[in-house]
Amino acid sequence: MNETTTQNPGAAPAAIQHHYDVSNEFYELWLDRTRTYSCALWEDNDTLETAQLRKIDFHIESSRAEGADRVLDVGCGWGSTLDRLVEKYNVRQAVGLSLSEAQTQWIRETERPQIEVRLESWSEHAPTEPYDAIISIGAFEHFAKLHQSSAQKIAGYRAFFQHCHQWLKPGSYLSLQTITYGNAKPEDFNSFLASEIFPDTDLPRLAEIAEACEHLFEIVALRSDRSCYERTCRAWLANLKQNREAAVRLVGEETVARYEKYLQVSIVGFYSGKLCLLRMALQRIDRPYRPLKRKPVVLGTTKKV
Amino acid sequence: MEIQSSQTTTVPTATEIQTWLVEYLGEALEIDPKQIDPSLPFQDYGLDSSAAVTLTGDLGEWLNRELDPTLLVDYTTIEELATYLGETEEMVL
Repeated sequence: MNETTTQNPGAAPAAIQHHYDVSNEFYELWLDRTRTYSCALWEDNDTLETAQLRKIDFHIESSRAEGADRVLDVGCGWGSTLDRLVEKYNVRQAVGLSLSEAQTQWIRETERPQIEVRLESWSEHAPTEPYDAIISIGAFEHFAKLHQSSAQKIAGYRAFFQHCHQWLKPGSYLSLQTITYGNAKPEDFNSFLASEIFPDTDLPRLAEIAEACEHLFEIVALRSDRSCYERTCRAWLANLKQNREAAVRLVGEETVARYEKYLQVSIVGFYSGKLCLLRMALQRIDRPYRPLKRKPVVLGTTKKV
Repeated sequence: MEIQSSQTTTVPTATEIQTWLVEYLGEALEIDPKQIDPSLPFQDYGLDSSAAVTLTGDLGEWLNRELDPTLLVDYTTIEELATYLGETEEMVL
């Protein structure tokens, strides 16, 4: 039973590295300049880059991180949120966690005292000081394994929320973004995505997230933005097609074809609603629910003398 | 070469596209194409989104036209897809 709080219940580092450590230069060919590899937040006239920055700003604002002392980013990718926190939002220290060696090395190449990146899972993270805000964008997808039961998944997710609860100062916020199953069931999880793109990974359902954070966090805002992910994947696919020759030179025809198919399958998933994209603002509940220790006492029935 | 040039002037009709799809599915499923019912949803033949993407890609290659990977979400049977593409083929010309 203690396993969920001491071991990482999600995808193994090797599974994460299978996807994210393909080649930094390869991702550079089709992501935007900030190398943000998650669903953007689009408005009509956005470019991919402005839509990615809009998304990062959304989470920084939603987690009330502006001007904070310490902010944690769980699954920090190539560090675009960490950069934004210290450069635009006056955060004193931004800490990022990643399981990808390629990503952490890349962030460390530019030395910035306000940014600390750690190659470790949330389950291994042991901060010595609390955080004022936590952001997690596109990492929750890896917090459960395929073929786990719903109860096992919820237990793993709850362990994550318990950790966040312990790390956060009273009243503070966690801003979470994740893909979820929409009008589909785990048994429909595409075998191509499961085996070739994101091994060792299963997606959450909204109900599982809600149950996992119950009595620890209050869901204060929820956005469902699957059309934003469809548009993001279309932008990535267009970039990859435009830079196809260079991509093939870097990683080979087979890998490029695999990524093209993955982006197309994702476009279909988000367009059809089988996949959803949720953004949630969660506020720490400082006094988690506890039951009455005895039968409710009835007051006001005896006359005062 | 003559065959190619005649192909560029005639576009596949809805019926021809339907025949292509029936044969394609028959081959993929290793069953007699006669057993494929064009009015049944693709899903009933086991097509998930990954297979849908492959089918759309192969069909687009045959039609020499870029097809959106989401087509099968809106046109859910062989009949519907063939009718839609037959109509729009004429517009492409």
